Amino acid sequence: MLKIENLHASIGENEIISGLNLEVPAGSVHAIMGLNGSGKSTLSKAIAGHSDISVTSGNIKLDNQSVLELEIEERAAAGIFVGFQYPVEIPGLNNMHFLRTAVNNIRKAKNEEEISASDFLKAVRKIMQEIGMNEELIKRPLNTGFSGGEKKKNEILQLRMMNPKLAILDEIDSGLDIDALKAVAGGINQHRSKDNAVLLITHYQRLLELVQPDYVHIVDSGKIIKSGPASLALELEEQGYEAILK
Amino acid sequence: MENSNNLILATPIQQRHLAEYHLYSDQGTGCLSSPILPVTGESNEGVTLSFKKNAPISAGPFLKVKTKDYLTNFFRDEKNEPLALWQNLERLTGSLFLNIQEKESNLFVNFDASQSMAGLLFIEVQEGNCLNLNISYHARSPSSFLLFLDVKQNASVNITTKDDVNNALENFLYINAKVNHSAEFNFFSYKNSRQKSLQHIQVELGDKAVANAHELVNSSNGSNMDSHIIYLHRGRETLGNQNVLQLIGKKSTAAFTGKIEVSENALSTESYQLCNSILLSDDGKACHRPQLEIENKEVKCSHGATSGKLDENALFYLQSRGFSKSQAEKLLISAKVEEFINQSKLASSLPWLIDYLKEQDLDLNE
Repeated sequence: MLKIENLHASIGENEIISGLNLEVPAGSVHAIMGLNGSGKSTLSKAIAGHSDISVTSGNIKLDNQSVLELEIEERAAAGIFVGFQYPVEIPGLNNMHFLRTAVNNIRKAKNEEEISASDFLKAVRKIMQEIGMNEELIKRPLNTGFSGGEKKKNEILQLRMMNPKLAILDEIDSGLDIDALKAVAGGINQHRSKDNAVLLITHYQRLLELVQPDYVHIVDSGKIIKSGPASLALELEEQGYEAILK
Repeated sequence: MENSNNLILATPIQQRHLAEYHLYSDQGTGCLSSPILPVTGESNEGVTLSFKKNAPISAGPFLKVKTKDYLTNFFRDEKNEPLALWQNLERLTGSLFLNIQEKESNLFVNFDASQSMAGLLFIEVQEGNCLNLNISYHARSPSSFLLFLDVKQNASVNITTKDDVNNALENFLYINAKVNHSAEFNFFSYKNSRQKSLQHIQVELGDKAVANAHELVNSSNGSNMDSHIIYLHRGRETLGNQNVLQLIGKKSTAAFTGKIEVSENALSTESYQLCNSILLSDDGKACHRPQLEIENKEVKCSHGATSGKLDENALFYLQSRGFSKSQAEKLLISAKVEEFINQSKLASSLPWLIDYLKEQDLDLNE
């Protein structure tokens, strides 16, 4: 589903991604781990099409089609979703209005009919209950005044409602208490299917205990230096990066 | 006060209970002075200032208003139609004095002006009464509307204005309010101009008086908008808030002068000022001029100003959810406006403005 070929990407003059290769087939969960500043978040932004990131060479393909020429919203319509480490607060923008428009943007791109208000509300309520999210939050301005855990749950709500082919979750576990982590992990597991793929960017094994990855990749200096099964994350937890990077 | 190329309107000689005013033309026609000799009476439905040809000055009546909903129209012709431009008429002024007698009343003012028209409205809100004042300003060419308020003890006045002057070359809205002991002045204005306009609000606060002013400015398509808010804290324990949001489009300028003047006797004053400008193009300009003159030490005052483009992170977030860039920009602007409106004490009476702005589908990048 996702294929990254010898990707080089820069922010300004600085090359952050330096020849990264990665293949994430449908139905799989891949975890990306690495030290701070190793290029994990830059990778997620490069896939999503952030204007700060210049792809200088290589390719990013979704279903064998390059996405490099697509605008951010076109990549979203093609099925790429980013769950943010720091979701933005937009006071004045109603969460429900935002989410329904976002869902309909994607449906429209797929030539599907808009979701009706009642079907939308039914689906939103169901997911909110499943992930333990206070129903009041859908009526409030987007992420405004939400706790760290509530913001992450709101990202999972969007993920479930938009049902993308590829979900890139950038440190979705940061700042979560144990209960919130379980709820977020539960939401990711419910999203998993044979038709989609998940790329989890994380620092911690604790998320990977709840969302079992098929592969773990360790990124250093903008490229993958080691890949392996889920047990690699455990190894990393026990030995630390220094031992692995040697 | 400079108003237009054609017209310079001087501050009235007596700011309240106006006795006379002057109108000058810079085209050398000289000074025109008109004493006002108001007629007294009562009015229960509304009043229309109408004019006959060749009678360019109306010395309006002094009316006691004893009704809940009251409509005032500036200006109409003999058939009660909006006054058309009369040839060879350089200026036209009309004045009206209202004394609000009801406990709570709603006053609607339609100011419908064409060339060089000036409307003067004098309102006295009696002790303990509440006046909700809605001013619609439709200007088709240079014009001025001047409002003088005397808000008596424990009274309150809530003013909303919508100033839609797309086709007007220049216009001027002036409000001068005296807010007496424990009285309250709340103000919200929406200005949408594609030309040049000036708004000047001056509020004098007596003991324990409160003033809240919110101005939403949409300056686009090469327009030049200037607004002034001046609070004169004269009494003790007064509270003032000035809050301005400017949306500045292509080749447009929005300037804000906010002045907080606290006199020596105005102890325990609190007064705050904030102006945020959103630059929607590379060639828009924002100008902020905060002025604080504080003459005693028992005061809490602050001023703040920001100017910048729409938040890039928020745009990226929205685009990553399938919103196009222009859709995301419009959504962020609407969100800013709605947040600003909701901060106003008059928010509950402003849903019409939110609906109106949605109908306009603001193309603020113009």
